[in-house]
Amino acid sequence: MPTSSDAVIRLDNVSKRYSLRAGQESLRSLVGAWGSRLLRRNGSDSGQDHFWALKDLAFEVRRGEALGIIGPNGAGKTTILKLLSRITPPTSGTITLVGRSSSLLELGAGFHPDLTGRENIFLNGVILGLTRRQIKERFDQIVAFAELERFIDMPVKRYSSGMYARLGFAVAAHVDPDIMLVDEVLAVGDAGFQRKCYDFIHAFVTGGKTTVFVSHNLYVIEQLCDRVIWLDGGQIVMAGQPGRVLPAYLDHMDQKALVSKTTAESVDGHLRVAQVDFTDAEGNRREAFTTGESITINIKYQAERPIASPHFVLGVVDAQGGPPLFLASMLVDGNVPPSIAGEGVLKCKLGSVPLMPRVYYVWGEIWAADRTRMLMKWQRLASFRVSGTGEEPQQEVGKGSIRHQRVDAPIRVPYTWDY
Amino acid sequence: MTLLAGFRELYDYRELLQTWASREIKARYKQSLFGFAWAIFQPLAFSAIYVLVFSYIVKVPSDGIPYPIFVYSAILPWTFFARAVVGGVPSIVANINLVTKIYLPRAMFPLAAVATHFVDFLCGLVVFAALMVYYRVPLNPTMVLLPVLFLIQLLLIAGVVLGASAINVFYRDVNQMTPLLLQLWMYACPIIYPVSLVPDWLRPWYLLNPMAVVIDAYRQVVLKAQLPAWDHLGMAALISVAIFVLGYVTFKRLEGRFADLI
Repeated sequence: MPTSSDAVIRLDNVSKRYSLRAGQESLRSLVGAWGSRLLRRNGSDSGQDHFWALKDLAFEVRRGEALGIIGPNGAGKTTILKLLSRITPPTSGTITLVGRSSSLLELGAGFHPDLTGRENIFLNGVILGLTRRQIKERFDQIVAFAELERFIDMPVKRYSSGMYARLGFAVAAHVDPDIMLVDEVLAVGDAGFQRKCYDFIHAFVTGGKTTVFVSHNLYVIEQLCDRVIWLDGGQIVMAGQPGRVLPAYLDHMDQKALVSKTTAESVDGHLRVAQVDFTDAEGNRREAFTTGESITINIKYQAERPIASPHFVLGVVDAQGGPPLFLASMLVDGNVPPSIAGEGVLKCKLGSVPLMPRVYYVWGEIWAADRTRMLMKWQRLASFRVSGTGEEPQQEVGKGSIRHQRVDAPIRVPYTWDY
Repeated sequence: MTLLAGFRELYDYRELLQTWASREIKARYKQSLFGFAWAIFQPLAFSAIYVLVFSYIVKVPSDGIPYPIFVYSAILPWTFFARAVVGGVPSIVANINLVTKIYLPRAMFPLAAVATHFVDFLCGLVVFAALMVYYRVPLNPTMVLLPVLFLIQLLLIAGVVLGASAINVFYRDVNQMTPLLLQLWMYACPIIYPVSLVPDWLRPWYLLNPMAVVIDAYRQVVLKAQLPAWDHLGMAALISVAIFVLGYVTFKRLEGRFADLI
């Protein structure tokens, strides 16, 4: 990869291997290992007892750049930050860092519960590389930032977890490093303090300092970062501008969220939902639709014996979870089939579905004729994807557009402005 | 080369070492009634027990020195050694959350344990000064050697604590063995008895224990106004330096794996 002279962070073919064996080994296990080695002669270094958290990773971060690292759990994101903050060395490869770095990996990690807030500010500040003089100069700012003026001479073990985290962030924020390494710390404290942390980091980034973020919060990544690395299995899947990488990442996660086929059974076992699929207005089977299209949910059932008046309830649920976005319920509309028996297909046609692009789940339940007994409990049946609005945004796409297109409100209701 | 860089880094972090040590001391005595008095009381109490047992019940000779000051002069450096080791060996494991979350020179943890017990040692010196006044021990010119003796002892402590604390991360057995080994080691030092009681055939081996030589030398220069035997002291210094280097190299070799293993 090209080497630019203003790179302040550089990774060359960095790999990190972790042992899968438990950390605690007693002397006996050491002796035991020797014994078995003597017996078996060839060491069992087959690769089953370790895994590679990072593999031949190479990238640079230029001075003043804000780099975001995204990826599913276990992709190696936190390992990168641990390597960059020198907590653990790479198994192979080299890491170069120019300037003083500060990591917001764990807030208040160095606090001692028995010491007061004041004593801990000095302790933590020194741990993070400040001199006592610098801390004295910044002390009032730190306390004001943490909003803990009244509690500063109280042992931190009596702090609430929010106060603890606030003090931790306040100290870390006043180290004034050249490079800041941030790992999911924006989730501390109440909304007001989160805003404050966000603003602080924003000011740090726009002030021309170098930052590396690890986050699952794509809002934050999109808002703050100039460049994003998408990591999976310890390797780079894609790197580039957020506007390019984030949609690709979201598409990929959508694909993974699609469940292929679900079968469900009634409580007594006499009724089975064998398959659920989706068709469009022309009756073609599809799993991807555009916003505003009509979607028909086809439920193939098998009833071992005739069932009178089964009440079907279907709901469309956001893949992120939460309550159903809307329901189609025979309990409400009373439009109930008189009886079902053997194999058959029940169709539910949703006209003009106002969903924004992402993955949705169809959940369902079935009630008996008396409407008090449940035949099949509420469960996930299938998933479908909405993959495009069918119209291009009129506004120039800039920061925040992905958030509005992809992450915010799931439902789009047709609207007009009048002014 | 990297070893020297490690020393340089430790020097850069000296404020942290100081702050960390004072945190340990503050936290140790925070919710205790007698606070710092414990630092003085413990070696004093042990001395009193030894005086009772080995001076009144078993009559152990003490080279003509009053037994209380004879035993206290050895208990003081030994307590420093033993408590620094007991405190230092588990220091890295005890600070897991820092080792895995923040970078700082890891040698700081065991060395801070040594520093905190050094403070206790200084408190104990006050009592020793009082005893010297009480038993009318004059200030001898041989006492200028004290810093040299102390340096040898310090290197030994640092070497043992660094090496043992690093190995303890991998094998917690070290921490379990520590009190036992210290007990053995204590009897291998002239604390409750004088070196003159050690049989002649054993003495060359006995004096390979640097702690035994240092303790005896303390007594010689302070209480007897004698110069220590240079050959033994030189050997003790050599062994202490070797243990320090070995401990430090062991520590440096293992420290990269701390965060992954804990």
